[in-house]
Amino acid sequence: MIVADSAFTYTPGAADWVRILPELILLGAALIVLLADLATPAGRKGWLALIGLLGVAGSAIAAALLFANGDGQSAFFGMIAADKAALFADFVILLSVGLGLLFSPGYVERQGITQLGEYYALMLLAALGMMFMASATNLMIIFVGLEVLSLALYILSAYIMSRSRSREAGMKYFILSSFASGFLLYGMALTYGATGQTNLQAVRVFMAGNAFHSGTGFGPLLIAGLALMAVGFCFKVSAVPFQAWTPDVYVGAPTSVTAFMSVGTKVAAFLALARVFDVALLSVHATWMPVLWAVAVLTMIGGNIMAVTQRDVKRMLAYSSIANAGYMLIAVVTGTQDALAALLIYLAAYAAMNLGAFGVALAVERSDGTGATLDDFAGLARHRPALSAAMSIFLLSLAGVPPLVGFWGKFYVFQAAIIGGHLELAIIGVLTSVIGMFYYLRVVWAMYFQEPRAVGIPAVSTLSVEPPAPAAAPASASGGGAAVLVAEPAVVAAPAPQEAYQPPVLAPGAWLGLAFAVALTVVLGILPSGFVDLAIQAAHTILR
Amino acid sequence: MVAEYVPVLILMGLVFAFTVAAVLVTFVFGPKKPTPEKLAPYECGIQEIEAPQQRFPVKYLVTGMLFIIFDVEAASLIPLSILMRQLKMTGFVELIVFAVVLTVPFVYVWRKGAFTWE
Repeated sequence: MIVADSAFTYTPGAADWVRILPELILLGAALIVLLADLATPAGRKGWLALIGLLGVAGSAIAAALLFANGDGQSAFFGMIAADKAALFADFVILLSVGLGLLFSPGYVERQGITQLGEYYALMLLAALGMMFMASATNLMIIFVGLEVLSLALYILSAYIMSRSRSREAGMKYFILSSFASGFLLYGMALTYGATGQTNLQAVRVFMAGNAFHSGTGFGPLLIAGLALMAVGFCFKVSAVPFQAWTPDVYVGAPTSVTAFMSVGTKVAAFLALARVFDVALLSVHATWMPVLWAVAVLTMIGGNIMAVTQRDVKRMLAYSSIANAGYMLIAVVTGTQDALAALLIYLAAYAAMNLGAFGVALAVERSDGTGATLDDFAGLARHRPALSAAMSIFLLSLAGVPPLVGFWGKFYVFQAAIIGGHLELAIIGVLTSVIGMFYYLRVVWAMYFQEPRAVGIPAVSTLSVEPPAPAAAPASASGGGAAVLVAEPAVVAAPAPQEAYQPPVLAPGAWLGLAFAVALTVVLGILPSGFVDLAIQAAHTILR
Repeated sequence: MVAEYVPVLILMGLVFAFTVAAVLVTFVFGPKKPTPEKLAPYECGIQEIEAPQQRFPVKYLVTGMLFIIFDVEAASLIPLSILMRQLKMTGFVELIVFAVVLTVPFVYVWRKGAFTWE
């Protein structure tokens, strides 16, 4: 006992708690949501989303105050960073969970999702895990954060229990992701074995003080640890050889969850990846660089090429998220301070545009979870000009068209790669972005220049000619049965539809969310200097 | 360096030898009076009352899962109790936070009826 006391004298104080205030507020909101769920009657669960949003807003305010006034020190004996990089990542995660919550109320009603108290609480807890993982400066906390976010997301992926695709998504994600967590944990254990430290700063000090030889001493152990950790992280960011789970999970999970997790998981995993590889183990950059280089190239090429053949827009967006992980990996491979700033810029840009694109897909989707194919987007601009315009902005931004925020993400990543000596990665990135242009613009083309599919026209005329039966429940599947009988004579030429086309109906919250995402995509695209400066400041703190 | 691990190697050998010996000795010397019930797969030697062909509720599943979660979380209090004197007020606040985080889900699952048997 005496030995332990003299070696370890850290006593956590009030300052430690203040440094994790954003996380604490989010945890409090999740607990209040659980209690409020017991008190609210079945039809009023929208209030829970509001409580969650208030928690997210409170957490964002706390993060902003810490960003401006915090001392940037780590909390709890170097376990959790409260540096500007962590707080910047917190912002992006809070943005994604906030938009996910805004999209949810109308969507969960349409999809017939019950048990909403747990749904909203799990959304908040997943965000909490992401924030801890993004702020972790200790291998143990990285793993704990990862498990908190993963467990919540396994359940959320399988949340539409009556639908086999959703159950499949949850099961697939659970089994594959637990396996990847095992790899990551084994890698962490070996790294700890090699360096004797789990604290990332201490690992860095150890690496600076001990000569690294790949063949002798702690070298082989560290290389094995690096390889296993790289596998674990690459799985979590869905980089190509480890991408197979992504499309199935993203398509099967409720779209509001997909929108949130496609961004939030990437933010958390990339921050942890950058802290481990670009901060703690930067001195062995030459050892791990070729591996992540190859993964980045494979991810950019593979993700973009596989996205080209997709007709389901949600699936296309899933492959697009794989391709985007490739661009972000460029920044990790480069590993300079510019590159880390570029990574943060890319993550923030990606959050706004990708959540927006999934938000539109969620609005177009039918109540049985299908109906987000290119055919469903055909001629959408005629029924829903605002929705189509928003989707066009998000897709153009994802494609990297200049006045939008996605352009700046790509611009800074490629610039950092060229300055950091990875011209070839920048060239591959630009070339694969051109492939990306094709499948993003194909959706825009379908919305504006294609005729609405045959079923679309009778459904609209059905509503105007004979309102009673279908119009009684315009957003539900039950109205579809009656409408298809009326609509059938007009669709002889078309392939027999299972259900009449319903023009997408959006809840007010979803409109608000989409408007917010559009505003961010456009305003940050036109005036990028403010948030780019913040990202550069944040990247300064990560390398200390 | 390697010599320090020789006891571990000896222990591993002993464990293996004991396991094999225990199985072999009972196999060779144990009396065998087989009956059809004993030879049936997945049975314990007692004649079955009813063939389990129909579905039956696994009510203890939820209770069991919740027990494991709360049991493991309660076990985390043990290290805290050892350090309680040194941690002083901080430790008390941490204890309260932990208890609240544990209690709210408990109230939730209770009110949702996870503990009602029928």
